[in-house]
Amino acid sequence: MKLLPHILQNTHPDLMRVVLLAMGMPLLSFLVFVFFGKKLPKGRDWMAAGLLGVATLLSGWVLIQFWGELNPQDSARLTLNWMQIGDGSMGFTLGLWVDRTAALMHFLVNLITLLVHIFSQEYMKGDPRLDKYWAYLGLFSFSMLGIVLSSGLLTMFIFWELVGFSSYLLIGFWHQKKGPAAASMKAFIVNRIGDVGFLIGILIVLVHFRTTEFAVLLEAGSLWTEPGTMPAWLTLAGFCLICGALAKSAQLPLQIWLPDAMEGPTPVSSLIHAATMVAAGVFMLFRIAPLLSPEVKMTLMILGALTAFLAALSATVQTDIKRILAYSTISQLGFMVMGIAVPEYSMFHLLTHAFFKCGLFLTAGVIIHSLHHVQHELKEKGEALPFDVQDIRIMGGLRRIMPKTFVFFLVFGAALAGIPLFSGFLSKDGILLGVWAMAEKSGGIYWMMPVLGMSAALLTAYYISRLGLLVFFGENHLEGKLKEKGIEGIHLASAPLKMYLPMAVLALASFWIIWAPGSPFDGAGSWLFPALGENHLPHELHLVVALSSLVAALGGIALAWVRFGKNRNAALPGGKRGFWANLFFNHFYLDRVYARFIAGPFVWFCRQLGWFDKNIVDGAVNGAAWFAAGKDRQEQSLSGALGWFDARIIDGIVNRVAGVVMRLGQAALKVQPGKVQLLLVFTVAAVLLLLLYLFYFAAG
Amino acid sequence: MIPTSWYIIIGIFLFCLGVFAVITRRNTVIALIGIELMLNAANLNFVAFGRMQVNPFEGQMAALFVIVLAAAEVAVGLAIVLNVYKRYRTVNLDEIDTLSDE
Amino acid sequence: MGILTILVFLPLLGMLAMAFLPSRAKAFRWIALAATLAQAVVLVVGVIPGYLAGKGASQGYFLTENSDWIRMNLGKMGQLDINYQLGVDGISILMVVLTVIVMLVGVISSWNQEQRPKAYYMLFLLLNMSTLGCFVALDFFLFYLFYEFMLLPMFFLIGIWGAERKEYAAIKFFLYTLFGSVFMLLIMVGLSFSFIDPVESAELFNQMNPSQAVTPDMLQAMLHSGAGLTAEFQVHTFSMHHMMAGPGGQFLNMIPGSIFALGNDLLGMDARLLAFLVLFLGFAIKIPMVPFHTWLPDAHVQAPTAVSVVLAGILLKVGGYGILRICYGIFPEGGIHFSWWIALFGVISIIYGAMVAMSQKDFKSLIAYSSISHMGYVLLGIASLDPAGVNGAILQMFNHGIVSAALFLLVGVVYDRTHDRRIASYQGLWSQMPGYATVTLISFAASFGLPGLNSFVSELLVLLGSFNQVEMFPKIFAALAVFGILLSAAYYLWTYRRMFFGTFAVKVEGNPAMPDLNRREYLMLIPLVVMMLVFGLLPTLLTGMTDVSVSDFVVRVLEVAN
Repeated sequence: MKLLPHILQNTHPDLMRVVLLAMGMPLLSFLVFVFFGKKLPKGRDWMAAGLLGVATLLSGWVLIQFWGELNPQDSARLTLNWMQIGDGSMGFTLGLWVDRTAALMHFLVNLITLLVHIFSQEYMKGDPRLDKYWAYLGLFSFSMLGIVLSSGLLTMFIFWELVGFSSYLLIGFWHQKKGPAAASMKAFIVNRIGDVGFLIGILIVLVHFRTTEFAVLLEAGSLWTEPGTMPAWLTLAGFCLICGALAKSAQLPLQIWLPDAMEGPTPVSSLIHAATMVAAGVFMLFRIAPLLSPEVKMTLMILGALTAFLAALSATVQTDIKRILAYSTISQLGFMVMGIAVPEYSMFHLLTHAFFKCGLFLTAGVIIHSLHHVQHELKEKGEALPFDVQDIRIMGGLRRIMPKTFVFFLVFGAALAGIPLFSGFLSKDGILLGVWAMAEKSGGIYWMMPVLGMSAALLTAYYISRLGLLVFFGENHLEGKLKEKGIEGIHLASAPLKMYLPMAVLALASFWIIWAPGSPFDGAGSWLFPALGENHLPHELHLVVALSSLVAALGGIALAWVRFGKNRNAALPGGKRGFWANLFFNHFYLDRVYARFIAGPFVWFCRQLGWFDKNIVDGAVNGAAWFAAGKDRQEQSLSGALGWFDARIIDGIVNRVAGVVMRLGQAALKVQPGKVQLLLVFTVAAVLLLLLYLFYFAAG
Repeated sequence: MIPTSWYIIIGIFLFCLGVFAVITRRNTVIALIGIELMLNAANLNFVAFGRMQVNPFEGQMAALFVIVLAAAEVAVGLAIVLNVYKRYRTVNLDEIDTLSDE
Repeated sequence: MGILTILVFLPLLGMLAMAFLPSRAKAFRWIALAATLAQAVVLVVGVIPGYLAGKGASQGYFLTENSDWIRMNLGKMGQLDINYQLGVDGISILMVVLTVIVMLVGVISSWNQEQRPKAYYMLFLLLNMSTLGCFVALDFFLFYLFYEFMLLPMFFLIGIWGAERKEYAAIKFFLYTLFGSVFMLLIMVGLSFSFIDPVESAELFNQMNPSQAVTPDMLQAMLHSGAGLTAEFQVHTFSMHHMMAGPGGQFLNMIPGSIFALGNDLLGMDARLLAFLVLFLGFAIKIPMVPFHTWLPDAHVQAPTAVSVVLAGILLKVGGYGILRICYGIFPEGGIHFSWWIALFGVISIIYGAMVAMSQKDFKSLIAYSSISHMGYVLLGIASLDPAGVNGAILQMFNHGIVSAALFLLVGVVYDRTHDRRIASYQGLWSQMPGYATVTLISFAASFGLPGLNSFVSELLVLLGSFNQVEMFPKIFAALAVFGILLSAAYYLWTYRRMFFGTFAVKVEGNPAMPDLNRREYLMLIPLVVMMLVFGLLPTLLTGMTDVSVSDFVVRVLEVAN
């Protein structure tokens, strides 16, 4: 009997040791802070960051190994036999699989987590539960690393759920507040809806392939490259599996959790939105892309395109700085999901997006942080001036006050809007090119993707410009308010340098130079290819697509300028929103529709079921028990039951029958005066009668 | 040798005596004695019938078993009687009728 | 004396010691603790190594003990043979381990029992003995005895030490389970008249016919020959493994034409199917399966914490164990015949239990309904008759035992402080009791099947088994069962949000102090949490013990079908 899992395969033991060590660092951080967090000395913040730093260095080394030393197709695998059931034909294997993509993601996750750690040191300063914060961050990045390194669906699912759970902890970090409490629960449960599908998919795969290892699956998947040859169960499995990705990557119809997830601390938001959590869904799609049948891919693309477009629409009217960015994330993820037609570009966009979106969130974090300071100082002075630190309507003019932040914002915003020379242009362009090419080939409904994609690109440029104009230009509304109230000595201050350090790194990665130094206008020239995947895109289309997306981006910026360039009050309070703006603002009332038509009725139904269980199911039992006992109104032990019975089920057949039995029982009472000896007389009489019967009838 | 029927007749007599005591006497202790009588009637029958067998010990074994049981039963019964007396201040069976529901 | 006998009857020793102490003495809890600790030592030092090292003495059972107990000569009808027969295999070993763990936790959790401690601890030990006995008995009669014996202490433990409506709950529990077991007696007697013990019968035969030397194999052949075996030479047995099918799916010890022989009709239906149903009903009440579950919430809500722990942790498992060992073991064809329905009711239990749990306002009854939901997986796994599914069912019983014990302890923690079980009475407990909040979150997470914690493994196996089977029931059942993990996450997190998030407030009269967990509470909770983690990460620790027996079991059951 084997009581411990054993290693089945370890192709590159030395390399794997480094990978495991890198993976272990965040876990170590988690364990240390959970158990000794309160006892650690003052430098504990640096300890968390230091562990992540070591992990980043190690993963950087692994990255160099894979992209420099090893062959492009090489991959390191470590497989563990987790369980063995029955004849052992079912492979419950867990494991790590490092190839070029995984090494890249591994490094990315570590790097961004490290940056967020450094940023958080300032942002979260003075929080009494800081030790828990570091612990949760450690667990979160550990689970995310698990996802990107997992060798099979089963391993991935385990870490997948752990990511969900640690995000629950992080989003609900400020658990005393109402918002985070609701948001964390919502995030987890919506993700679980997707996970149900994911799990069913895994089970189907496991039953048919007897394993969930990607290496085996992809080999098998290549059997069905001809269209229409894929078996039905695999299509079904594909539909189930993508549910998980749709939930985790916040795609239609499960995107509702992401805007609410903003309730967590801002650095956490930046982490969730950039390299972790939401990236997991896209990464998973990238991994299983060869297994997805055309129908599944089609569904994904339609959903992705719709999400990209609708979320961008919502982002155009939000007034909360983090909500704008949240819808922006949903929209960008829509691009990636739409890009499943060209998975390598999805992956590319995931990588570039991670940097600039993280940067945007940190920018927002800097602003919110300084506003928090103002709020704090006001409170200390005892002045009452309530305002929402995330509301862009109290910002404005920050260009003067925080010039550094403004510069960073310009870089990240340009990358998001898809301006040439910035990273976002390269990757978004590739996706648009991919769907455009597909539309040209297949026609019909496939044109929906490039059209929606282009429109979303335009809207992206529009909302990010709007954000920039309202936040950084014009005059500061908060200072105006302060002046109005006659409060002096309080100013918006620039953030400490420590917060800008991570942003600088992110900004560097938002230029083309990191990604495709040789070809600033064409993502196809990136050094990432062909390791991410063979590039089949038609070159001749490239110019058309690049130009149209550039036009869309510039158009969006121009539109924003026209609308907000002069009249910055267009989005100020007081101005009532019209029907469409309301619709977009509330994200098409999706939340409310779900609450009204799904969650609400469901909870109502559960309540009814609870009533049914208590009164009908249990009532029937009590009724039956009562027939059997058939007596005893006074008897203490049953009085509760009887009182209940009388009170609740007065009517009905049950009771009528009960009445008859009760009368019978009362008749029986008359012969039962409670005298022991009388009972004995009855017994003796009965025995005598029996004997008589035996002698005279049975014997004869 | 005394015929088996004699034993049986005595057994019947003893048994009836026991039943009579249990049913009619008001005192709980007497009723208990009645039970003992019945048990011993049964014992007598065991031994008597056992005598007719090839292996007489089977009947005697059963009788011994009954004696042991009877001892236990008396111990428990008397304990109950004592407790009943403590609670109701009487051992009159007619007055102890809380089993009734009226 | 075998190691299992020692394990089972150690509590009796403790009871004996208690019996000689005056009821005012303070040492009862120490004696109870000593007895259960001694059991744990015996388990760790003796039973588990013995099991792992042992070779199956008879038909895959380990650490077997067998001695004659009651032998009755029925004259023309042969002889009745009841043995004192103990043993463990992969199906029962985890249950034994679980019982010892949960009983130990139970004793610690009732440490502050002030009310009539003597009776309380004696009954507790009695309960300990009878449940353990249930899991190790291989003789049906012995099993039945232990099974019935469980009711008695449970009845008093709920009825005397319970909450407001304790009498009602106790009687309901008692009648319900008794209803289930009365029929078991009938079936048991019928079974014993349908099966012989070949070894004893051969011995008897040789004794009566000194000229012949018959081996058990020859006797079995004689039994199935045209002439049959004369009733006088039949030694009727209660031993379960004589009632089970041998290799090749043949019932070698079955007396042709007897009441539970293959193909015999009773009351207009196949006698064996009827017997299966009746036995199943008894165990289904115990497990409990919707719609026979309503005793459970009442019993749980009214029972004192330690008793709830034992009830959820062990007693429900007797139901699942009984279905596997007795229903499916002795009547495999019945199991296959009814698999569709059992799976259906399993799924109904999962979904229905979870949905009703969602509507509960009482913390304890929420956990009780979640137990119903989680035990539905056990039914589903058993019905799948797939090695993964059955392994999963056993693991689920074990894991649920650990998790539900922790959950009921956690309810007990707040109940001790406020005497209020309503969810709505609490708010923001996280800020006030961070340790408690952490342990609760982990236990909730384990219960809703978070990977890395134990329940995930068992639910995964059950679901996989039910996807993997082809003939027993449609796969849509399995797909529906997956929704159980969503629903359980929903009601747990909702509860967690209501009780633990927000600003701290306890809406109970008298403004009770709410200190965080004390040392004793940590002592009983931490080991459970550690086990959740360990068995979640290293499930092989469990499957390694069960797998071989379970695979054999599944093969045997399916052989009968063919």
